[in-house]
Amino acid sequence: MQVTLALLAAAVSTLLLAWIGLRDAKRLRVQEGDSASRQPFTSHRRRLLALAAATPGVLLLAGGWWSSTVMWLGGTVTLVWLWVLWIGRARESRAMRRGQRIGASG
Amino acid sequence: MIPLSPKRTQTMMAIHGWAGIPLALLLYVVLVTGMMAVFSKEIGDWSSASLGDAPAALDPGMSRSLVAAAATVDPRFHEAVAVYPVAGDRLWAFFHRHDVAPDGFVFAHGVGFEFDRRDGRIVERFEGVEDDINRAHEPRGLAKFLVDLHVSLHIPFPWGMLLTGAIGLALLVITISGLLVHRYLIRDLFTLRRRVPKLLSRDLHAVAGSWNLPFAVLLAFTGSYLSLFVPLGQPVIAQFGYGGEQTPMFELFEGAALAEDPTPAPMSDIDAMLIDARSRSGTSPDRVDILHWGRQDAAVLVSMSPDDRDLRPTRYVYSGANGAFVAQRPGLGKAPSAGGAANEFVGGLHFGRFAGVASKALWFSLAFCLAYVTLSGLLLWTQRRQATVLWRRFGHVTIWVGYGLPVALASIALAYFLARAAGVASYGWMLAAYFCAAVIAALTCWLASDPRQRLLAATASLLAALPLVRWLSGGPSWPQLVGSDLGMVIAVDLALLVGAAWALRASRRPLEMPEPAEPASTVDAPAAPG
Repeated sequence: MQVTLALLAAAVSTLLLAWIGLRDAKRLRVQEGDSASRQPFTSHRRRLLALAAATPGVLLLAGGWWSSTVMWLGGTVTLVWLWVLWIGRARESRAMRRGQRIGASG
Repeated sequence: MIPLSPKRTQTMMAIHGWAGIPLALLLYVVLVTGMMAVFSKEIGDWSSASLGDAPAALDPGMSRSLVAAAATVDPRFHEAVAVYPVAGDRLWAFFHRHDVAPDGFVFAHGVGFEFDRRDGRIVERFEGVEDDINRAHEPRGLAKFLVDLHVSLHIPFPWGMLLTGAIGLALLVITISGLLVHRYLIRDLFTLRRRVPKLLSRDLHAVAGSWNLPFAVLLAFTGSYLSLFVPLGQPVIAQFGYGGEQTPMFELFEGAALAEDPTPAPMSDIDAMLIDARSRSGTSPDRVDILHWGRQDAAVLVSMSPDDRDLRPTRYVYSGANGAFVAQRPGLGKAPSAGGAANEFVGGLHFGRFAGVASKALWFSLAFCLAYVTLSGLLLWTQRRQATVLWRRFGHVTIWVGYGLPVALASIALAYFLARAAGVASYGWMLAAYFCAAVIAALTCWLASDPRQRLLAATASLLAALPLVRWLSGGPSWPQLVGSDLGMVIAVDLALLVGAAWALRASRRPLEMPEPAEPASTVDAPAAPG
């Protein structure tokens, strides 16, 4: 039960944090260049999503699920860290492929 | 953004680097061995799996083994008995007394037994000081060696624990100064500048460090507390609270359960107490401690694994003479207290065993991330100072420790199996293997053009060989394990093979080379994990 709860909570938080990361202004600028089709989130929206991402942990804590809370925190930071590594690599290789195509056609 | 003046930032950067540099290589060793120590039970089960239909170590049937063993033990060792499962779920009991060493520290001395869980007979008997006995008990040799390396770096007590405590404090300083030095912590949480190799190494270090910040603080604090409490905290408390006497301090910690009565009395059925404890907590017992065996005031303390919600174990006290339930005992002292609860949380948070393999796997990943941050930080620091010969050499030492340590750890496991196959004591072999691997890794760093690649390839070969060596040296095969409840052994074998594949891939992958600093850099930043 504790692991299931922690997994669910970590999944929700990771998705929300990944969404923030996907529309993060600095990430979009350095990884996708000026031509990025997505608009970055406003600070207000980022804060709102960050608050929503923290909510599962707060709920677990309020419910007295100490072990699930700790696992939620650990799971979320690990998953988001891995996601940041993956998205950095994936975006970069996509950008490189796009560059190669443009070079070949030009 | 954390607002700091440029001068303050420079000071913080200096603290961040200089607090870490003297101890960072040892910190890396403590972190990597900590990753292993999280799985110490599984490593024990894997290295010394015992096949055969048998009840769990602390299942009913244990009581008669203890009574039979107690009859063979000098009554002066009836002062306390510790009963718990060890490698391969073997039942272990240690009848002992506490003595004070000339240096003032308390140590346990007595008789240890391993029992056969199927018929309760004694398999092995050892007499001596607890640490020596645990080292001589071969089934847990490998796990204990790795745990000791994490806890004290195999340096004699108290110096080893003082050193690892200092390392924990250094990690705390590095973490806090890193937080202050990283001015745009939130803004950079998602940014990896892969197009600028010079910045990528820094980004990989900063992103891993930033996301892992809560756990760096948590593990640093709990680790230094656990390391420093026995060699430093206890003597200080005894000195100021009890005029240097440690015995009344321990009585306060342990919360002596029953009024003293040395009248001899037979022990009641401990199995019945365990059944009662199971029904009260709904969890399984982790260990049993018995005080004053065979006396009217005998107390049986049953520690149960934490329930679904908690991080802390539940402890019950029973009267050893009549088997009656006495009380639920707090972690420290007689009555529940905030200090006692905090003390219990420290253990739960540091070891990460509260939710079985799931929490252990998580703690492993978090420690892995911290080890990566430490190694990448060291390489960045030395890289920026390549112009100085001393730092260039320190960069080579970093490669030696960073990539040589996994080779040494895998060599320890190899030596353990070979020693057991040869029928000799494994401790000496493991120690020799550790130092031999360290020397070979040093020579590789000195002579090879790309030591990192060679050391990673050596790690891959050793990890891939371990499951085979385990089996060839008398361990159970996979077909034998499939039908048993020892699926964990197969899981560890597979994890080693995955680790070998990962190390091999990392050794073949071209490094994401940062632009050389002036003059030309000879030290490479590590590739991102994964």
